[in-house]
Order: sequence, then C-alpha cells, then structure tokens
Amino acid sequence: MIYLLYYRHKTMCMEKQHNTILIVKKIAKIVSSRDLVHNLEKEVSRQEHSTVNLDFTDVEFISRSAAHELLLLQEKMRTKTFKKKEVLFVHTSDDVKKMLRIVASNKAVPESSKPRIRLEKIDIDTLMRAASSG
Amino acid sequence: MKNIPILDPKNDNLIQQFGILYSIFTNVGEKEKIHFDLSKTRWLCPIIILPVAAYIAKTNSTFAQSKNETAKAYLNAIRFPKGISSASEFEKYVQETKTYVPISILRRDKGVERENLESMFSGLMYRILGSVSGAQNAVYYPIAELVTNIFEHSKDDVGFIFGQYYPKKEYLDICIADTGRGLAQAYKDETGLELTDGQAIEEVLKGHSTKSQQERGYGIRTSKKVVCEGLDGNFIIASGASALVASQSSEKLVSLPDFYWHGVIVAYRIPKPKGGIDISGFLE
Repeated sequence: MIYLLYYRHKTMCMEKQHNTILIVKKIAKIVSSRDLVHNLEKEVSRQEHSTVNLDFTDVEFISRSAAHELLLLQEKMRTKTFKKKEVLFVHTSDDVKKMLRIVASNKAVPESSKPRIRLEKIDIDTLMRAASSG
Repeated sequence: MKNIPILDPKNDNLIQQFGILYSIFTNVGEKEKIHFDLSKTRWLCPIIILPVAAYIAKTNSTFAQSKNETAKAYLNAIRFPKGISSASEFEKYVQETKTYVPISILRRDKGVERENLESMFSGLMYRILGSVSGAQNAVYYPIAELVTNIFEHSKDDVGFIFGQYYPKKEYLDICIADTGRGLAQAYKDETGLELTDGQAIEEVLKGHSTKSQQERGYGIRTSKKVVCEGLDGNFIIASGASALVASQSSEKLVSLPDFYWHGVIVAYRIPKPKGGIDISGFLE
C-alpha cells in the first residue's frame, strides 16, 4: 500500500513538471509596475520545478514597462548558471500577447532612428491668447 | 501664509484650465505653505484639483472650502484633498456614490495594494468612457505608463491620480501628478546631463531614457501618441518651468515664467470614442 501511494505521488510529480503562479493574485488585473514584476523573481526562483508557468488568467492588460520586465525575468531565469528556470507565459489574452510581442520584437530589433520632433516654442501668454481666440 | 484664490476657468478648454493652474502656482516658492481659497470657486476640473491636492499633501498647506453648494458637494464627493489610498476603500466608495471618482493616492510602499487601486481606477475610467473595441487598451495604456513613470523616475513615494467624465460634453479628463524631482533633475541625477526643463521635455519626447537599458523611454512619448493620435485628444505635461501642450495637429513647448512645479503634472482629455480603436500602431 505504501509503495502504491509512493508510486502514485511520483507519477503525479512526473506528470506535472511545472509550477504555476497566478498573476492576478500575485499582482492585479492590470499589471503596470516594473517593481512588482521584478519582485516575482524570488517567487519564481523558489519554485520546485524547472518550468514555471506565469498564468495570466483574468489579467486584462499589461503595460509596456511590465511586458519588458517580464521578458527580462524570462531571459534571466533561462540564462542563470544555477537553478535555471524556464518561465512560460500561459493563458494570456490577445491584448497581453500583443503587448509582449511588441516589446519582444523591439527588444530583438530595436528601432535605430530617433523620432523627429518639431516643437513650436512659445510662452504662456502667447498660448493663452491663442486659446482665447481659438 | 500666502492666500491664493482659485478662480473658475473661463471655459472648458483644457488650455484655459492649464492657465488657471499656472496662475495659482505663479511666484510660489518651493515647499511654501499656501492657503488655497476656494470660497468663490464654482467649478473645478482635474488639471486644477489634483495638483492643488498634491501640493497640500506635500506642504501641509490649507484651504478654504467653496461656498457654492454644488462645488462643495463635489469636493467632498471626490474626497478633496486627502483622497483615498486603498483598493477596498475605492471599491466601497464607488459602490456607494456611483457617480464620482475619488482622488486616488498611490503609495510606493503599498506594492500590490497600489497596483490594485490603479487597476480599479483604470477599470472605472474604461467603463465610464464606453466599451467600443480597443477602448480598454487605449484607456489603460497611458494611465499604466504614466503612473509607472512616477515610481521609476520621480523618486517620490506618492503619486496622485484623478479623472472626471463629462457626459454632456462626452469627454474624459485625467490628471496624474507627483511632487518628486521632476524631469530635468532626473536626467541630471541619472545621466549627468544638465538640461533646462524645456530641454528635458524634448529629451523625453525623443525617447531618451534616464535609464541605460534599451526598451526604456517609451512611456510618455507613446502615451502622448495614443492620446493625441489614437484618440484625437489633448495632452499636457508640465515639469519645472516648462510644459508641452500637444494635440494631433500641434505640439508646443511652453515656457512658464515665475512658475516651478517640483515634479511632473500630466493632464489629458479623451473624447468619447465613436468607433473601434487600435493603439498598437502608436506603441512603436
């Protein structure tokens, strides 16, 4: 009997070779801050298995900054010398997926040309006069 | 203590309202205690209310309540000047009042609580504005990026956020403010660059981050693009003695003599979207 229980436990562990972190519970429905994503690093490192699923169920949106930090976390965990982890983003909505892809592609092939800006330089009085007449 | 009356804007133009903000803080010294006189104020808007609330919090300044019953009720309803700083309080408050959005105070040390409060604020703004396709991202993106900016660059531990939807005029006004080190000082501290406030705003628009990593420096620039080009809105960012006043058709760098905001104020106006929106083209 004990052997059977041990065998079953071992089989279950082999079947489920990953841990899952539910982002909506750890952070929020909208993930915007870099610091909170950065704080996930310890949590990911603590996980038993070598694959850690960051589960985005019920996450409505992630900011560009948070997406960048998530990709940095993924890269850092993959390239560690010891206790490497494969971090996977699962159950992502289309919007979350889109943001991760925008940032990942820009990270891989950064835009080299700087945006051109053409600012009209005026003082506050001129601005207010224009606003009054407009 | 200096007594500063807060006057009503002449009209609902965002630039006119910014002019009132300028007049309020003209010739105010750093951390100078002020008595804000709202007794004759009849009408208030986010670009005025929020910086005044932030300044009161920073300097322990005082204020005289409006004598106009409607304005007084409104100020009480939005919890001026102290605001609220917890997600549970925000939820309870919104359920009770239905109509008003309170001033929200985001505290760095509150971490997940702060993120939940910001989520609730953004979610409410989106629900109020209407649910056309893509509107969710268009509302969430600038709020998320601009609030993140406060905690990454301002070195301040508190951020202020407030919004008001005007159903008859069909637009949403949002203001986000901090009383931290401001843009020019952030460049000086992080990169050694000595810039004027105007030059610092230009660097922000070019996407030069104060941080060395790639994929930094997009937040303000892309938020402005989403607001002005994606939503046909108006966008103002003020720091120190300069401001950018932008719309889809023009961008003006405005010098603000005898004025100095220690920190950053961002205010923008989004018209109620009539059709689907896709912001992905503005994120670069």
